[in-house]
Amino acid sequence: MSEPILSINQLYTSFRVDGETIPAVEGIDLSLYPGEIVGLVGESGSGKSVTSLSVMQLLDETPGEVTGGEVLFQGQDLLKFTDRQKRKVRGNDISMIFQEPMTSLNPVLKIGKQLVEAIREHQRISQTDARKHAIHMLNQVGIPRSEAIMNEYPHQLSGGMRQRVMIAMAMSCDPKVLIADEPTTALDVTIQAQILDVMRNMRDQHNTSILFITHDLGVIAEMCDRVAVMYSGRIVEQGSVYEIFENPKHPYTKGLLGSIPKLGAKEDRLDSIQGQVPTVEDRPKGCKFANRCPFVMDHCWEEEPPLFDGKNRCWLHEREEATE
Amino acid sequence: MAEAATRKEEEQEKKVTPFQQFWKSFKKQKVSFAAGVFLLLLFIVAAIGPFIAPYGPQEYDYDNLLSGPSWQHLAGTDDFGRDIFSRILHGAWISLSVGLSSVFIGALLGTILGIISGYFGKWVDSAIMRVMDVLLAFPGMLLAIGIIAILGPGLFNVVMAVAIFSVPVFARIIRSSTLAIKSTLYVEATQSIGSSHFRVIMKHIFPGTVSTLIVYFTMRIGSAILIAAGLSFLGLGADPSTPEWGAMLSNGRDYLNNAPHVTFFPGLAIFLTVLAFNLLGDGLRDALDPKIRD
Amino acid sequence: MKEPLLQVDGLKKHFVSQKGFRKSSKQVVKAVDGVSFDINPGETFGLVGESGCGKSTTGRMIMQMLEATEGTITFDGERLDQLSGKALKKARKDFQMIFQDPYASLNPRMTVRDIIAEPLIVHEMETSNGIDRRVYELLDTVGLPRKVAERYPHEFSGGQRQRIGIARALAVKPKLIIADEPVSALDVSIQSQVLNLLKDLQDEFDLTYLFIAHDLSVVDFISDRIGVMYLGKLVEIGDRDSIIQNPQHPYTKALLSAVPVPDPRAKRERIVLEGDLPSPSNPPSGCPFHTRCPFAWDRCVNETPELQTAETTGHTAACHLLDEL
Repeated sequence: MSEPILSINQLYTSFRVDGETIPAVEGIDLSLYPGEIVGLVGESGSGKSVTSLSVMQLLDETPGEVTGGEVLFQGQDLLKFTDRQKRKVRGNDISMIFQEPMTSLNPVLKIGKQLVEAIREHQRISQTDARKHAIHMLNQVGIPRSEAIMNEYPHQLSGGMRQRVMIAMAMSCDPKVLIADEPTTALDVTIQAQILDVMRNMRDQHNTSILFITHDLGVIAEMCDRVAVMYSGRIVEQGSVYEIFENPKHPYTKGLLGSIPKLGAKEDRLDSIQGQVPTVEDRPKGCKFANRCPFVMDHCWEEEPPLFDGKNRCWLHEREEATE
Repeated sequence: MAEAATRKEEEQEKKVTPFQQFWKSFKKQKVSFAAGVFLLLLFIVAAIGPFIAPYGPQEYDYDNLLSGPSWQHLAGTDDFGRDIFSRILHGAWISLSVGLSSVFIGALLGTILGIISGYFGKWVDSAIMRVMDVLLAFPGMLLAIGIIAILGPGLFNVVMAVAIFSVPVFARIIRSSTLAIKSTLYVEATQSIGSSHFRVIMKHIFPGTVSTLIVYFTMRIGSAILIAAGLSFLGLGADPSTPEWGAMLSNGRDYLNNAPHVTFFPGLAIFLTVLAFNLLGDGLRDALDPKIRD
Repeated sequence: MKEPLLQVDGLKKHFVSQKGFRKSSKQVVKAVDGVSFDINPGETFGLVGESGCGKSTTGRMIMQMLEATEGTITFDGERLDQLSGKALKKARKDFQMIFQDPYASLNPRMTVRDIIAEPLIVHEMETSNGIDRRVYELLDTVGLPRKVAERYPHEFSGGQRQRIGIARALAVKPKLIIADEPVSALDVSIQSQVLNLLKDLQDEFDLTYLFIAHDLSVVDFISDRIGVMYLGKLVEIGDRDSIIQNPQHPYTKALLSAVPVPDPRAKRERIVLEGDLPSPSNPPSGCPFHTRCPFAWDRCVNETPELQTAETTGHTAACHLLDEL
């Protein structure tokens, strides 16, 4: 495989609340190769959304701050960019779509105007050409009567249509990387299926790399080539989608997979994970999953395991390697 | 991003009663905390004022008519030679009790009407709110003067006038909180259990309006004191000889040029008190707001 | 055969909204448009559908939180829709609700003890000593430590709050529990805890569930029978296995095929539906699904199909092409 287009190295992000620093992301390594869809999966509080905001440098309006590490885009560190350089990259080379498209669209501007402005922000083309391109993009994401939609306001569209518009806008400058933060969580399943199709088509046609953030393991299995599982601000397991779903190693991944009811499985009970996600203060000193782990050993409480082989953050991994 | 912040919040609030939580955030509001301390002192002064004042409120000193501030008379004397500082101390009780009692009556009636209006809705709501609209249509002072015109002058009637004109303010604000709480899922949940209207109102609606009520109560005291002083200034309130702050202002009006201290010190007392109540109200709102959102 | 615990027959809810300056034009939204089903004692009936299909409105009408426009609701031999006042309050003891949003459904100003005790006080079921004992018993039942009784809801995570909501629903020992999307706001690992708990409670207390959800995998896991709703109508109803393995209605088929499966090798023939859900204020003529149905023909546009039993599976579906597809 070629060079990664985006690589996150030892990223640390924390939040400042009442003068105290609360770590949200603690040392994440993740690479995204051209044309690849990588899934970042985790429950609320795992730090998956903070990771995407850190990459996009969108933490300014929050009390959050990247405190360490680097985010290399085509070999250059995004975190060292000036505001001007950042603006140039954002929306042009790296785009983002969010869970609730309504918050990212301006309610008082027509769809067409917003699309044209987004395109002309990064490309020196005429109003008419930008408009043509916008309609072309709307067609590509499967919007019927795209010409008419150009003259409508966001509230006149359904949730699914708005998300299509967001994808059209995000893809309009042919970005190399698309970061999708729970893009289908607010949608019904039949609409979700449509949007996932659109995103796959976009990847196939433009060779865009997608970082897909979601809590839904079903969506991950369907969309992604590789998966990183996050828990308490760390990646606890990473691997190809087949490795993760067919041979999960980390007890948390196993528990998560056992927790989802499977259609038509006629299960009587679900294998659930006991307890709650610990708050930052209550996080165990060693392995952050120690308090919920069914295989916990004394050592786990003492020392946090590293990400063995870049794949599995569990002391059991070491033991398994030794027996093999 | 908000995930971490809310987690932090939850963590902090652990094992903390709602009052401790409020106190913690209120202490951070330096200005209104100071205003609160000032008002606390003012209440103490009002209570013990008659005992610590160097002179009586009607003690005439014909040797010192309209004399300026001195060590003998800290805030000078008025046209009868009465010690202004002592009169302000005596008058504090009047101003505060007029402010408190009138707003208390207004808030009580307003809250009852607001909750009934918001909770039952339909024609009850329309009927109550139209009456409130009529009351609100008059400028506050004019309404108070009108009421005094009907009831006759006097401090008790000032209290009633200010109370009546506070009713619609409370009725409106409590009605809107009631509407907000009425539409919450937890009210629906208690209704689905089979709770009576009385229970829903007393256990769920009223406790939810308390924080709003406290804030508006505090803020209204300031304006009630101001209106009461204004009425006394116009000669519609307290008897001119009583050491009511507004009446004292009115007294000094004729000597503004040669003895400005006669109006300055009562005016300063009114100004500081009203300002303190408003600042306290602001701080309370900020400190209580997270609970309202909750 | 046993008498059903709950019988819903021809239930309709039409919301009328007046539009225009002089409220001249009336708009009727048919949120629920003729829904009938039975639930037998001890079973779980799953009501599934996408947003706006009327599943929650149906639940609220059964709970008597909304008045039905038309139709009857018979619970334990009594016509709920005809009860009011004291009689309704007495009947309410036997059916309780678990809500979707564990944050909004608990009063933030009440302690856990007061929240769980409220139904007991309203129905005057216990003395004050008895209430304390019962609250502790309920906390044990839903797996929360007794010391939480004095705490406030904001001190708990979503999953713990939902347990408090479940304890409240169980307090008066109801026969039927209506659960409206009880796990959709929860994280996956917490969702499975709550689903397991609901199953355990059903066995322990002989509960009957009406389980309303949009997530087919969850409904499949918990239900004995399933009803599928689309635009205010039930389009298919039957035993769980029969619905999941052999869906008859094209909408159910599309819905099933759209559910993401946590298996990267799953080969699927996905039926991707065209377009969006039509607005319930302006529903299509004939079959409500004909605008998105890949098999729609003339008859679907003109004639509304009735629920009828499919010969192959024995469960019912409302489609003109039943047994032909």
